[in-house]
Amino acid sequence: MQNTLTYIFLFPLLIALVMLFIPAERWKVFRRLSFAAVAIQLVLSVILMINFDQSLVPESWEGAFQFVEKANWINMSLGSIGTISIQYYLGVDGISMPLVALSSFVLLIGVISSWNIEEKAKGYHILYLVLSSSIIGCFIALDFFLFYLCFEFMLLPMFFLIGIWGGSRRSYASIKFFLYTLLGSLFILVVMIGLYLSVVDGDSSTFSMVKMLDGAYASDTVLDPGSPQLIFGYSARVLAFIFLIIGFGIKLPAVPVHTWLPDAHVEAPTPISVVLAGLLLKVGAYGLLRIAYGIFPDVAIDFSGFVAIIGVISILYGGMNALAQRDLKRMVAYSSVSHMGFVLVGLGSITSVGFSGSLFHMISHGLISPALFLIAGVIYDRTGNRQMENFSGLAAKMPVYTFFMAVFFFAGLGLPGLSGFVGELMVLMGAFGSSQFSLWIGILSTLGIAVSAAYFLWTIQRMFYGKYFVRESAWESSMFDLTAREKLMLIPLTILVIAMGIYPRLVLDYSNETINFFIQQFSIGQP
Amino acid sequence: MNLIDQLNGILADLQGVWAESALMLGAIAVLVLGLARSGRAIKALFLIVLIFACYLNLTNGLRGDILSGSLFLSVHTSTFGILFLITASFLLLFKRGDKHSTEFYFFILSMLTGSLLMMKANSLLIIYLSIELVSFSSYILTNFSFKKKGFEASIKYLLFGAICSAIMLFGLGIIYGSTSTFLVSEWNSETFSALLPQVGFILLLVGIFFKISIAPAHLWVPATYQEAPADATAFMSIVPKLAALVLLKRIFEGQIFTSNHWIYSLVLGLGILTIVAGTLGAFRQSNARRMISFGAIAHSGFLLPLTLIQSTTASESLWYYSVVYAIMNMVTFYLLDVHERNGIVEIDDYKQTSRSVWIGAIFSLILVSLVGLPPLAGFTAKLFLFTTLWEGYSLLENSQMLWYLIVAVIATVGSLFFYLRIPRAIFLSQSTDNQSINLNLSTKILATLFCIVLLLLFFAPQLVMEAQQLLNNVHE
Amino acid sequence: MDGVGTKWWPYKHKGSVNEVLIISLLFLPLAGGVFGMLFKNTSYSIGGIGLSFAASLLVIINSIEFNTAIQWLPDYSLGIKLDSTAAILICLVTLISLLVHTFSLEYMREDDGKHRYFAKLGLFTFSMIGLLLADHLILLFVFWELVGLTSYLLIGFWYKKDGIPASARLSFMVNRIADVALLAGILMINNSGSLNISELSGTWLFLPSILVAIGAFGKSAQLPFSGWLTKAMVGPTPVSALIHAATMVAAGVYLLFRVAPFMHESTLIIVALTGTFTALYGGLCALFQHDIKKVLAYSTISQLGYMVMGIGVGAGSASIFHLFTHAFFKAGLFLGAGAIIHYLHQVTKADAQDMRNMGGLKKALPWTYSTFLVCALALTGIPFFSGFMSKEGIIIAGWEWAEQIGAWAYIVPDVGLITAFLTALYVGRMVLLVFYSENRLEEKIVAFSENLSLKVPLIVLALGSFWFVFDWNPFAHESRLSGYWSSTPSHSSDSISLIVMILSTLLAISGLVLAYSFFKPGSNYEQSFSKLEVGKFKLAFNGFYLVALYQSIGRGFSRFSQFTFAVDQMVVDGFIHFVGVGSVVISKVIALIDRFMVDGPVNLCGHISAFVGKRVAGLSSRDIQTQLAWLLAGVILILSWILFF
Repeated sequence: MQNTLTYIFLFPLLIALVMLFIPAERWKVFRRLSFAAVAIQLVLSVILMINFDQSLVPESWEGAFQFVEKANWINMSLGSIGTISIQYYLGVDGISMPLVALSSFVLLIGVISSWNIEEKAKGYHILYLVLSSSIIGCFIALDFFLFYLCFEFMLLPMFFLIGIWGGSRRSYASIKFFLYTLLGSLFILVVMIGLYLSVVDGDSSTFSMVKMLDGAYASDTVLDPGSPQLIFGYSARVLAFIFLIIGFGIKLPAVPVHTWLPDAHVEAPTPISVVLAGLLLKVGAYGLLRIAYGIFPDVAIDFSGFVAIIGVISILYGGMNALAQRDLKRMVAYSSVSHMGFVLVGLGSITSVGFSGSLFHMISHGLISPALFLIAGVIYDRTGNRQMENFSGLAAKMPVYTFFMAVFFFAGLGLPGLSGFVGELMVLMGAFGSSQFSLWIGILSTLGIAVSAAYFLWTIQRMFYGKYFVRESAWESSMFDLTAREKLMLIPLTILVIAMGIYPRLVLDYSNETINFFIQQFSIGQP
Repeated sequence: MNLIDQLNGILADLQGVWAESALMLGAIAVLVLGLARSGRAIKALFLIVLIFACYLNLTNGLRGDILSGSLFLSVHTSTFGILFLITASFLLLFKRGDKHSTEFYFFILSMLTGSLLMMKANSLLIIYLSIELVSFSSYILTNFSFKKKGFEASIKYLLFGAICSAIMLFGLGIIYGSTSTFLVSEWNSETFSALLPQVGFILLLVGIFFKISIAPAHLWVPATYQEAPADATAFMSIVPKLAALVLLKRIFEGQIFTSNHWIYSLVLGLGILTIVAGTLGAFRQSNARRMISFGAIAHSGFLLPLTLIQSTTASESLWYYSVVYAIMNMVTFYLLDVHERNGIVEIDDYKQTSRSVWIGAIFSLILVSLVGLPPLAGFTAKLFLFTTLWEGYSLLENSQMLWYLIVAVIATVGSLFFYLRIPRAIFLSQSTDNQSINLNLSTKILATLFCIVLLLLFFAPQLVMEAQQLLNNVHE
Repeated sequence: MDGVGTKWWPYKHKGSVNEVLIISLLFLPLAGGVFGMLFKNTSYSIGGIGLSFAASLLVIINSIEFNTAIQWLPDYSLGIKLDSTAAILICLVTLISLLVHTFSLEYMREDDGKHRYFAKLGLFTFSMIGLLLADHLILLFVFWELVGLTSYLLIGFWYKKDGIPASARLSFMVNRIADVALLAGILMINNSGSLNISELSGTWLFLPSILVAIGAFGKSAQLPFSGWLTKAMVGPTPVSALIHAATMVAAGVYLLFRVAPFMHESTLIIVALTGTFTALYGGLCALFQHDIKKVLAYSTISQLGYMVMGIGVGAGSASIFHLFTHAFFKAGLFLGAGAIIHYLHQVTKADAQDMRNMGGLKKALPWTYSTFLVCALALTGIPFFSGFMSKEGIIIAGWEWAEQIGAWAYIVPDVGLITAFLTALYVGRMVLLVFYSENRLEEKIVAFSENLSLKVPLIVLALGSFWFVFDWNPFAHESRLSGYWSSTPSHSSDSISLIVMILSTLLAISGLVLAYSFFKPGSNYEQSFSKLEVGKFKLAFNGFYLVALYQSIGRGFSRFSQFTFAVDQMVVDGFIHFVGVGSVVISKVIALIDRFMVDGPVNLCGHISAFVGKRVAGLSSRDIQTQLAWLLAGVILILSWILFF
């Protein structure tokens, strides 16, 4: 157990390095290596999950993390603010553990989905593995600098993965993605610097997220809760929280900063959509939970209503837009916007069940949305087209495909027995039980369940029911049912979605104690 | 004090200018050698001169006022001096025809001398003279491509420089007239309490800003950088700029203004303007070099506030940023030069290079470092900058610092947009005539090494700081 | 709570026979369906549901009670409880389901997707049993949704046919919207204590209780949600019998029955009124339908209205009794209709559900005819049939309730009585038009051997429609089964029950008589029926345009979504583009400044020097005289300047 987190974190990077020295002509080698790297990552995270102590009741954030690895990384004296100390500091708690497992799982699905990529396979797999490392890194980093490093370093591989292997408007989409998310991350950077200048470990400033969570502020620093200092007439902590909301909100994505998402998804190749929807959005949500809410609980309480309203708007607005789409993938992309709104509502509720619900919904959406993109990818792979009006009655021609489609569409619309329902239910339980905002937020979010049913069912009606029809006769020959590889991806996802729907404690047992402790921070924070 | 003592004092103080003297002598030696030999011999002599100057610089332990206060030596002058000399040595990496190489290195050495003096200047006269020395070398070097456009650019540069120089001279006169001292070190918080010396100070700043390329004195940059030879551009974009920044820092170190003084605000405002102008100006450029030059303007804007804030963080950030900036700019112009030799000048031309994946990837990483993204040293530089601004805000309680921070952050996003155009052209666009450009292995290795250095400085930024201490203490 | 363990799987820590029984009761139908589909053998399904029914009988016979909880979320347990109410209703569900399975064997014999069909039936039965076993409102909601899903899947079973996918979606959406209300209501109650039905206490506030009631209205097809049930009739007819008559639609009534004691009193009044008007609405619409399934569907809506009315007036026991009897006779009627449709499918290409293509089927389908007649009489509410007993109970309770509430409240029992009359009228119309007179088809009627698997379910259901199944006394409005769901037998004053009984019997008989006089073989109406157009009864024929209302709401919603998408594209994304374009414009301006501020002066200097240079060059190249002339001119100029200024 000693260095498992490091192995999980850096192993793909190592393999990527090895790939640099393999000639590009042998393209099949790369996918095998990728697969091996991510599979080992998955095995290691499963080992971690088994060894994780679910019953650990934390006393402080310092004690909440397990498998901690800590080493000094950068230590230099930087003038008046003392030494700058950046640590290589890893660890997982009940919140990040399920996310780590989810990441390695979805990344594996992504590799399988990239099996057919022949063009520039070397570059693709190197970038993919770098992406893998940085995504995992985001979830396990306990040093803000390290977190930020990973957070930013997701952008560059993603930019190229969309930009080189994407669809026709890939250049536009990738640059939009990059600019948007960079903007968001720079907001986070500013807050990071502020925190660094305010939080001390002993007597030197530190980037340690754990210290920030535990509120080890030096007195009279900008972000010290006791400091009376105002910035443009606002408390620095309030501004910092808003910055974080914007920064992670872009990544999440929350309305109105969501417009990069549909474009990025539509242009991205299927495996990248899978990773983007399954994991990158979760990084945004994780950042909100861990950093915005974890470090600024006192501000979060005041802003929870605001966050929840953004969430409700995302749910309804995203859902409405999904309903208006004719491109299957774009529809799924907007549904992601809608679903991530639930995460915001759960966070806004500041209740234990709401937080658990948000986390659960993150995991659940992390399984459902990749599957939905795979499903959209199936039809696109076969025909090069995804317009709904070009297909009809696919149920007759492709029954297995239709079965999986139905499972994930219904999971998406929150059918009980599948994981989507549990997350939404818990978030709503939180919303209705919250003392932070009015009942109407809960009622409006509940409406989201009807909206999601509307667009998913309409899609089923248009594409899968009715008489069999495809627009171009050339497509006819390729309208075969799922291949073994496609099933290989969808079956594990299906099993997990059902298992989590029936037995949500699969995830929640990991997070329960951590989240209970988390919620206590808010009651302490309150006057 | 008798004459002997004074002479002894001067002789002792001369140690402080040995490096400059060596450079000047070396420059003359280059000219002389140029009569007989060319090519390798000149380059070798150039290198020897640089190494010798380096040695002199390192062993010089003098600090503080020397030569009756006309020069002022500090940690910065010594470490930046080394930085400049090393930067100059990298010019040897550029491919350069034998034609006029003697004169080229002569002017580089003169510019180097001027820059070193500029940093050390404590007297207004030395400031003026050193700036002029640098400028005149630059005007001529700009013309070293021996093309009509280069001549045009050179003339523009000259006209611009002449005006700025005149303005600065006027400012110096006013300052001397109203304070009756030439020495910067004699300034204090009361020196500029009246309006007239303040005006003089502003006029002095014009001359310095012209060198740093702070708006609105940045207008000469794009044309000059575009038309001058790549190695000259690389040098011009690094050494005189950083020297002027060190000088500026030295001036502001005297605590001559309180942090809410209008001049302070003016300088910060101009810095913001520079960032905006540089970033926005780069958006629509079609020429790669011109775009990078706008980026360099923006970088001047990023560097500027580090001279205003008087804290150790600020000076260390300035040092770190300068080192990284030097490396990034050097390698960028190096790569631009390599591409230009293959006929790839416009950004759109880079579409043809999509087969040279390796160099494309390295180039992309360098540009990403210029934007300031991890895991490259450009990020750490920006991080230190932002940290200093934050700290400056809480130290000085000057909300302009926050605005500066915000603009810098947004400009970073904007800079992504234009810097990424080259990677986009290389990787993201489809071009029918994919030809491999002609790159030899050494180019690849060199670019890769630079890139690794940038990565290394991200993961171990303390190296730069330790280097500074090391360089500063060698003489002991 | 008894049986709350840390493990969620109750089986492990109690391990009693009862649990095995309950688990097999619950899962066997599903397992049978799934295995049946996997191995393409319908006997798995029949076996599964048969065993499940047997298990439910065992539960009844041994009066097994069962109570446990699963810790579904950390610190949040969901109760499961098998009490006598649930037990008897499970018995009913499994019985009807078994009969429908049996009937479907013949009905679906030729269909390609029959294994899929049986799997879905199995899933439905599983969900319905789960719904009845759930003690916790959230667990109930889970199965509630699953029931909705299977309904959707079965309605859309023949998904290739035009219109069917849309109908399935419409049904699901209408249900879903009501479910949103239900979920919101449940979650509001969640804050004030346990959601286990057996632990509920106090009175809910108006908002949560009305939301829960709306949820129940949706499932039970009460106004304004009634439209979906008629749309659901596009599914296979046995499905209509099982889901859309006997079980699923009754789930709303069941839920209301469970939570009625905690309802806010205004909510109860609303419930009573909704039920009343739904009853009337269903009766009116049923009278003007051509489609036999639509008649039955509207009739179901109407009967469900009675049940909901019963809950509203506080006669929960009577409502459940009516649910029970209704399940038998309505399932019987639907299956009978199924037999007719099945038969007509084999003889004609014409619409097999349209009564205008029927008539005189008495001869062709004797068994069907007789069982249909029995069930129809039960529906009419004629003494000696089950429907009479249960309906009386509700109307009597309504009367008594009205006495307490006030004069206006008499509208409830009065409308109930009027509906009883309407019921008799449309039942009479249906039976006469379908079975009597001559066949209105062009094809000849052929003899048709009613298969055993068709006949048995019909006979069982017809038997279940007689009074003696429920009580020996045909005029009792209680059943011997009532003890299963109600501990306190209702005690109504004899005078009221007598009046109501006489009144309703008279109304029912007069309805039948009126029906006979109108629709008897050879009457004007009957003669012209085959060519009958909808005409002036359009309003009732179209169910008061409820479905059209849904559709237009849906279209409006869809249009609104186009609008939000336009907003997204133009305003939200547009803003980003605006910023982008803005910075490009600024950058252009900067480029202009770049050009004019730098190039401008240089060019100006260049022009000036070129101009001057030209002049000077011109001077120097001219001949000497000219040069001297210039010099002279210059001197004169200087001199005059000195002189004059």
